[in-house]
Amino acid sequence: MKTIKYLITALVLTLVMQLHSQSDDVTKEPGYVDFGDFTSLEKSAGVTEVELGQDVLSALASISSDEDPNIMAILNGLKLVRANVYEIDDKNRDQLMQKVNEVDSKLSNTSWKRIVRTRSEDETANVYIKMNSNKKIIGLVVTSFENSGEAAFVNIVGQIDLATIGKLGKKFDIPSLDDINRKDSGEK
Amino acid sequence: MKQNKSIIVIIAPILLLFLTGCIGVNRQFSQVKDKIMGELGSDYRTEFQFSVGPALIHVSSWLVDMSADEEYVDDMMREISSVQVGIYNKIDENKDKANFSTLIALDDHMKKSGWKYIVRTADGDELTAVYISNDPEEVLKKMYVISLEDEKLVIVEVNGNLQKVISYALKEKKFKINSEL
Repeated sequence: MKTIKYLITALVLTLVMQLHSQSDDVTKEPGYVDFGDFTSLEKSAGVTEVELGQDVLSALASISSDEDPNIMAILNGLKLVRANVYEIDDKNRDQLMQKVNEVDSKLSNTSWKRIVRTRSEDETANVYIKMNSNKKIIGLVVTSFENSGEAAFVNIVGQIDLATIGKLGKKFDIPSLDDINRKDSGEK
Repeated sequence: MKQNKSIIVIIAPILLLFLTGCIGVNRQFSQVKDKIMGELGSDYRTEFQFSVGPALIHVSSWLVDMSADEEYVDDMMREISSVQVGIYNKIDENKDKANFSTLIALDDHMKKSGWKYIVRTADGDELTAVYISNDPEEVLKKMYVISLEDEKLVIVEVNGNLQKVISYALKEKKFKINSEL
């Protein structure tokens, strides 16, 4: 009898630990997007990857509150900010454009909603949001391609307020993010 | 009596240097350095390797306070408790140059040692990565900055209240996450 009790306790603890570790895994969040494999782009002339987890964002929130309480509110609700940015050259141009189209295709076929799309001769930019059942934004993706510049893939996971997210982009100079408020909602 | 005084005069500065951490680097720094060099696959010669403890940083902040125009530099230095720096020169120039894939491979080693990157960049021949601790208690208390340019490898470990360091950087310099774009 005692052995069975210990076994059940151990099993319950193991299950609780598993659930806890899964809840900490941001890749399981509905607002997270796997952009796929960037291995073939690693030899680009310029590559930047940024990954700010919840612990870093919370820490930054606590220090930002003095200068701008709004920034604190934005940062506190976020679980992940990540960006992959590549300098475009003749060798990777087609690959990067294909990647932008792949992400567009992937998100368009799911519950993500594209709210901004801009296209010109030199530039393509898309903004997507994911909403939960309470109509709150829990994920944001920005893809941009500037023919004579860089291609960027940005994913923000957490509670997002579009009205103030542009402030975050401006504050941290995150590519494309600071332009969201300046682009009209809806496809163009 | 004179001999005792001489001994004190000689030993006191040495003790001071040791206590303030102003000589050599510690084992953790050496382990991180070895992992990095192992991943880079080249041999390096140490050009410079030292640590700066709170006493010397405090003294330095006085000098900075007198000379720097911006107040935030002095304020930032007050938040740093210690710094360890290593500068190394590549010996074997025939080996392949490191690239972004090297940073990715390095990340595996750093993760196992309890570090995660927040920024990593490759810009031509220059590779840079910034690592912070995976331990929630240590987040933004310790940071490694790794820079590899041409034949020179630089590793910097910064300890202190890094939240404020970043805060000042944000406020005064508008810390650019995409600074390498």
